Amino acid sequence: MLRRRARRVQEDGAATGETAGGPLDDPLDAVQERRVRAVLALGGVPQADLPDGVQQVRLRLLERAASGAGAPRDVSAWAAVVASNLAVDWHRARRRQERIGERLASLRPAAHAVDDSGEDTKVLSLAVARGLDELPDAQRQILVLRFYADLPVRGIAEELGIPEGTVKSRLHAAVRALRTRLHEDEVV
Amino acid sequence: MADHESGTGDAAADALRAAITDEPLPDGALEDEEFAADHRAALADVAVLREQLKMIGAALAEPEAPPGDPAPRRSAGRPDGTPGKGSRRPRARRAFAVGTMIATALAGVVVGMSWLVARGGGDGVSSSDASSSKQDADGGATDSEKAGGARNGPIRIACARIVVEGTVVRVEGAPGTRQDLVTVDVDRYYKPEEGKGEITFPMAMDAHPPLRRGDQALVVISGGAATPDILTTGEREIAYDRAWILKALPEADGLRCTGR
Repeated sequence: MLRRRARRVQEDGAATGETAGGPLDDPLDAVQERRVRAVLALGGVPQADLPDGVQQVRLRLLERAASGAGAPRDVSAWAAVVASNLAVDWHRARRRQERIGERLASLRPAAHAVDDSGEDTKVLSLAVARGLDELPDAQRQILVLRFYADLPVRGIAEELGIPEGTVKSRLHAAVRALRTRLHEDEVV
Repeated sequence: MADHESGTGDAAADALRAAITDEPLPDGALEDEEFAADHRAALADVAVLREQLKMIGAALAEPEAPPGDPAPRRSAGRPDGTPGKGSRRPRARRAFAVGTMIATALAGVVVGMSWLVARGGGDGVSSSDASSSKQDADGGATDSEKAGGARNGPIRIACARIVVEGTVVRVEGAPGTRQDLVTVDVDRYYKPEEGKGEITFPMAMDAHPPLRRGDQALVVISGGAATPDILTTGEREIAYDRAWILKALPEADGLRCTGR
C-alpha cells in the first residue's frame, strides 16, 4: 500500500478511546477548546488567528505530555494560562491586536446577546470590552485568568511564575480601572 | 455595578481586594458597616464582571458568520460546546491524536482558518486506489468521492492550512500514547508559500504501511487539525496528488472556507 490517508476519528469515539486505529484523544475537549478560544479573544487575539492560537495551546500540551511531565492537574486551568500568555505574546510580537470592543460591537445582535436581557446588557458588555482594551496586557491577562477562567490567585501566581502579591496588585488595579470606567460611562 | 465610591479610600480598597481575591475576611471586619457595604458592593461588581467576561468570551469565541447570513451559524451542539446529536463539527473539533508535537510550521504561520467548508459527503480525499487506505472512521469515502483529490481539490486546498512535500526524517513514539510523531523535512511548500524547515505531526501508531525515515511524503493538514487529512507516500502517488494540488492552488485562491 503506497497511499495512505490519515485517520480521522469520530468525535464520540475520541474521548472514550478505542477506535479501529487505536485511541486518539484530543488533549482539549470541546468545552476546553471554547474556553481557550475565549481566553485568546479576551486577550485581543484577532478572530482569524484564534484557531492558530488554539493549536499552539494543543502543541504546548502535547509537548508537555511528551516531555514526561504528565498531564496538568487541571487541564482547563493550565490551558487558560497558556492561552493568556499567548495572547500577551501576540501583542508583544507586534501582531495586530484586535480591540475586543470593536469586535464585540461588530457582532450581530444574535451572536452578541447571550441572553435576552436586551440593550442594557449589550451596552454593559461593550463598556466592559472597551475597558478591557484599555488595560495593560499584564492586568488584562490576570483579570481574564481570575474572572473568566476562575483560577485562584495562588494558582495564577504559580502558573505565571510571579509573586502572589503581584497578582493581587494587578488584579486590584484592573478591577479598579474597570469600575471607574464603567462608572464614568454611566453603565452601572 | 454598585457604587464603588462609598467609604474611605482605604476601606474601599481593602473591601475590593478581599472581594477579588476571595480571601477570608479578618474577624470582625463585617461588623464595620462601612466596610461591609463596600465589600458587598465589590462582590456585586465582581459578579457582574465575571458574568460579562463569560458573555464576552463566549461571543468572541464564536466563529464569524459569512456575509449575508442573517445570524451567525451556531453549532448544532449544546451551549457548553459539546456536539449535539447529528451536528457536523468542523474538522478543528475532531479528535486529535495525543502526541508530542503538532506541525511546527504552524508556529510560523498566521493563517486564520476559523472556517471549514461544509462538506456534502463526508471528509477525506478519496483514493483512486481501491486497495489503499482504510476507510475513515467517520464514514469513509463514498463512491462519489473516489476521484482522488481532484474533484474537491480547490475546496480542499482552500481549507488546508499546510500543504507540503518532503522527506520523513523522524518517526518516534509519543510516550504514554499510541501515537507516533512524524517529522518531515520540507522540500517544498505549496501552502503557505513558505514556512519552517520541518513540520511535525502525530499519526496513529498502527497506520499501515508504517512511515519510515527516508520516505518521501506529501502532507495536507486542514483547518485546526493536528493530524494530516492526506499523507501520501510513493513516487507515483505523490505525483498524482501533486498534479491536482498544483491545479487546485490558483483555483483555491478565490475560495473561502465556510463555517458550519
